[in-house]
Amino acid sequence: MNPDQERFLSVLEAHKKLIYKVSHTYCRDREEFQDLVQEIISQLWLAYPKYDDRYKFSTWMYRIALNTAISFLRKESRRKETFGTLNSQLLRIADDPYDDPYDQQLVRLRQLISQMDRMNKALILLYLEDKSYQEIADILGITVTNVGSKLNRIRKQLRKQFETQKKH
Amino acid sequence: MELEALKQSWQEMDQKLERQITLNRELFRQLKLKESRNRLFPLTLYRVVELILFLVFSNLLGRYLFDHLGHPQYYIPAGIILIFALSGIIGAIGQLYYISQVNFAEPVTKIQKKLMAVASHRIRLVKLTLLSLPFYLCYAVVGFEWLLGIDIFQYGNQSWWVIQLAFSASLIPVVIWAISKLNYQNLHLRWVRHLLETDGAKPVREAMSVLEEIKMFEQEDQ
Repeated sequence: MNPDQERFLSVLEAHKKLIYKVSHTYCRDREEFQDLVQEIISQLWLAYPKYDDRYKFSTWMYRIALNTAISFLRKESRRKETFGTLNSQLLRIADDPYDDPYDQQLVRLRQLISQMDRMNKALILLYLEDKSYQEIADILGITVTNVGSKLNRIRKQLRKQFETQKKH
Repeated sequence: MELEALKQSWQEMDQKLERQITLNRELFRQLKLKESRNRLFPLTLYRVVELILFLVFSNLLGRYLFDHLGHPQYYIPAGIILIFALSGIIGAIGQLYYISQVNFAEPVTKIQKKLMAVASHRIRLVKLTLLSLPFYLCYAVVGFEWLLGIDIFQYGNQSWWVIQLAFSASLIPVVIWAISKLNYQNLHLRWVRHLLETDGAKPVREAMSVLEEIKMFEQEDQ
């Protein structure tokens, strides 16, 4: 492996959770998830030589990962083409904590996210990742005020949803 | 439960995730990173092929026009067709420019809008094809003479020509109306759907839905 690839690999290693979380937020099944993981990694690799260090590395990486996940150009069977085996997993997950059916909070959170559209999914993901409003605005390309008001709206919706659930 | 509580539980999971995810280094080595292509590569390829075809066609047509400079019955229709072919060239170059401007490291809303501009190229091509419909006689005149050596002016009588010209003229308002209707907001109309989705335009429809989401996302708080 050449030095560039080694460097890229160590960056990837340091941010593997980011790739996992974005893919997990946008994919419904395991196969789709693995495809997206691989595609995000490919896009990061392509963009890596042009990385602009005026931006935080995580901002750069979130933009590429989210643009890859949201964009309509996703190729369905890329993994089959590149790996030839369906059992290969670029990110190996021993025991997926986000898929724990006994954790009620997480089950609810997953339900909530799955009902959102693509842009709101990105917003909530960045919020849960504890990004500042400024950074969320930079990644998504909206204003800080917009971020605040959207999160308030989601907060209200969430409260309403849980109240309805309690009544039932 | 509040959003803040969810955030806390998300971050608790984060700790576990750190331990439970491993990057498959062996598979990474197998990953053909050197062969990775920008996801816009297929679109770029289509546009390059389209550009080459339009260039070849325009070149041949230009030569035909030059060879028939003394015959207005041929060079006028050939000139009209050439205008459409040149529009195709300009369109393809414009698309290649749009594609070259797409950088996935830019903000999400900005990039998704740029991608939509690329995807909507199909609409422009269909509109260009529709625009050329009232000029179908030009294609017939040039095509017969060029490919078969048949001069259709010798075959059609005056009333035949009047009928053809009247039919051409009647197509103009129809084409104008169709072009005004041809957009992705009108996908509920069967003919629009048929025209825009003949060969795998699903990604474009998806692009449209992303754009709609972005519009709503940006407008909600204004």
